[in-house]
Amino acid sequence: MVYKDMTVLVVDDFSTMRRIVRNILRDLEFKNILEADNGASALDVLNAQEVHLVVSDWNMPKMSGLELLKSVRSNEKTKDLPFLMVTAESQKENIVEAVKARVSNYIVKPFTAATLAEKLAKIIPPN
Amino acid sequence: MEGAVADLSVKEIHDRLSHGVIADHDDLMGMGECLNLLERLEAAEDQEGPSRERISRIKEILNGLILEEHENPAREWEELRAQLNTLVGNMETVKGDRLTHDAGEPWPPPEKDDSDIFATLAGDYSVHSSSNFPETATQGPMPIGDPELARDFIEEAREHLASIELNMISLESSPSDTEAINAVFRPFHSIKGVSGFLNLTSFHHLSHEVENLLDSARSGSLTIDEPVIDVVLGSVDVLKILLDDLENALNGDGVLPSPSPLVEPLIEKVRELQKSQGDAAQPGTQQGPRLGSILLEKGLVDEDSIEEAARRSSDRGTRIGEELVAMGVVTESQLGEALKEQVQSREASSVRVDTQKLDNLVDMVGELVIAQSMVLQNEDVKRIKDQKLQKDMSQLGRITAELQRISLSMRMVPIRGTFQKLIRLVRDLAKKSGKEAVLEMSGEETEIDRNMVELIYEPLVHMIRNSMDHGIELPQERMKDGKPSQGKIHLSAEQKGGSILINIIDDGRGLDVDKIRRRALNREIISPGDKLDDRAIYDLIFHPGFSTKDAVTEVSGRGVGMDVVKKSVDRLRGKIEISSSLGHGSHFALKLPLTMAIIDGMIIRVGDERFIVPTIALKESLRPSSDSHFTVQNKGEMIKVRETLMPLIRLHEVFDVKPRSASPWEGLLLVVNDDNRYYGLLADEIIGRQEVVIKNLGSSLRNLKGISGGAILGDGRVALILDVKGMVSLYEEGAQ
Repeated sequence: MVYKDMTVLVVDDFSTMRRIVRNILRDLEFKNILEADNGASALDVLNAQEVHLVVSDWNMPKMSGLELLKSVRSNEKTKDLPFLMVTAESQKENIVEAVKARVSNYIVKPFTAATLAEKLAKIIPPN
Repeated sequence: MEGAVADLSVKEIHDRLSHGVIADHDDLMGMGECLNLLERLEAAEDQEGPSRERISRIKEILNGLILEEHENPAREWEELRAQLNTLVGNMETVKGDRLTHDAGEPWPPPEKDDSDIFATLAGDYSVHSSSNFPETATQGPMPIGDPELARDFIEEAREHLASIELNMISLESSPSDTEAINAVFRPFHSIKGVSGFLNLTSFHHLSHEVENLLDSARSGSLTIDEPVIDVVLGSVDVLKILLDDLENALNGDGVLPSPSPLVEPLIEKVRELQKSQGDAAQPGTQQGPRLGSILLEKGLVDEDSIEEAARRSSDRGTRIGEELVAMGVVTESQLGEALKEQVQSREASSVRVDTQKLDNLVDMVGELVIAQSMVLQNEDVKRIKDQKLQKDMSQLGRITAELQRISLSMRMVPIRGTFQKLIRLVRDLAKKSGKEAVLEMSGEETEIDRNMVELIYEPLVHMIRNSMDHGIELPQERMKDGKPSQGKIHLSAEQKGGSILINIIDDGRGLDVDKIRRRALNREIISPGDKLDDRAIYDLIFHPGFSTKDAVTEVSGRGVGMDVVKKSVDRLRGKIEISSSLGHGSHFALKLPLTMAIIDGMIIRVGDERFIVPTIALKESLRPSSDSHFTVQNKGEMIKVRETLMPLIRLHEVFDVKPRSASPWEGLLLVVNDDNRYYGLLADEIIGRQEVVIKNLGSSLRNLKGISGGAILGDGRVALILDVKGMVSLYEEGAQ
């Protein structure tokens, strides 16, 4: 599947950040971009429709990215869903926790479209 | 994490490890799986020393590979492979387990490809250098990349910063409240993230440092104490300034000023704190029992297992939820459900609407109510005796009334935001003056018209300043009087009828009646013969002449007195009352309308015209006797109500209408108060009392003195709303 046919869900509590990520995804020719502002509402979206990729921030109120990941992985329907965790350089060590919870990969803020493309190539199987 | 591998036997773990769980250097999921297996192995087996060491070495290498931290990934990769081989092999011999061990390579990537893989890997490293953070760009002036994004950022960042102050204050009383630390941490985190993308270096650096500091607090290695709170609040202030700068730059030439000089010293401070406080370790705080109670309610767990999980989680520093899953009492998805429920119970969904739209809606609903009553009052309609129509009409009335209530309530916001800003004020003032004081609040959820919010802030600030300055004593003074050294100011709000009551109660020294009287005499505000009760004396502090420069200390600062408070409150059509007990404290009671859109008014008649007088401005109304009417030389007509002599203002003269009667004793006297002086307004009669929706007069009439607006009455006719203050100054001007 090519990026433009995929549905991607961007999860971040800060709406400006969601817009930034969305713009970068657009640069990579994603067309169907959904947003959620915390883990719980992301789960609602995932329940309601088919999503091919999740790009989630780690640090969010109420339900963190890690908790969201665990919840996604424990659901039969989404257990293999490509899940990209967005993290900050200073919080990088936490990523090991996410890796243990089977995160697909992670990306450090701030990132460019090129870096994101690189990461996506690693986690989304080519056709 | 244990979920997937929890039930594996040691043999099965070996099997998996020896089959190779990691596909290639990009396979983070494989590495995670491997880590889980290793941890499982560590926990399950009494390993011999060498194996144990080997496992931790492998974990270390994996961590390094995951975080891309190694200098030479190729070598690590090689070692990892060797170590894993030995581990699996060793255990085979040590344990003597008969493994059906694949003869093939336990580590998949074929030798040939290795060099290529590692080449790319090495390439990655030059990009992600593990320095503190990527030194973004130039320090000098630079254009702002995406103005629209930047604007969103400003608005959102301000919102988030506003939330920090309250949380910091609550941290002051309970420094290990993880929820509160998180709530403070997050805005800095988000601001850092976005500013990194937008290349806003100053924001990025500062928020990065504060984030680090708070992160130490989250992990328990730093205690939130006074200096930490100061520096975090200081950072909030600086970030606010930076946001203002950014906004100005956006509105101006689009070029950011060079890095603010405020930032560097603050960063230094943060770093020092971080260093000086590095090692006081504290155990992480646990999640509250609420998750447990949700699970209990759902009947998924019993109390014993929750207790057990709580015990385990505090032993291991994990979360209760994880332990419950590990114990096999709930599944991950059940836990997820419960967490979701926990979250949802806390949030009410909302939509942001332009305030202008909201105001328009409120206006239109006001028009609707009026249009409806015009129809109802129509003579022809009144004559229709149809029962169905009557029923439908009253149904319509109920609906419009409800609609009006709802539309007004949409513009209502909790007073919390306004109160919260005052917490900070008290804190800062206490610091500056060497006093100790705490602001307590209640009723912060009371709602008030959004348009009122900003207007009541200023008077509240003055009153709090006043309490801090003149009310709360210095700690030693308080101790001497047998009071706790920390003073208390209690701020409360409640809704009553169409008003909001705000009380400011302090436990300071109270108002000194004699002192006030002396000063008022000195300043010739009162004359020696004036007989005033306590309340009237308290009211003297609102007199413009009462507080003067030399009475203002550093704290009260701006050279403004309580007269400013009185003026603002009047403008809001509110009332303020003081009570006080010498030595024990003072109580300022503020009564304000909930909204500026509606007033409670007395409809009066003057000749054929009707006017509305705000009920709150009215002291009393009476029909004077003919012998209480005087004409005083140079002062004009006066009227005596009981012992008080007051000027008589004939409304029919002011508005040039023909009254039913020109004699005061045949009309009605409305007693109003302004600046502690009484005036009598002469009207013909009071028709009724009604809540009316205020309509602004057109621009040509807007500055008409004595009139504050208009309202459409039930019969469709317009009545002017009297502005008592304007009326009085009109009179005073005429008298001079």
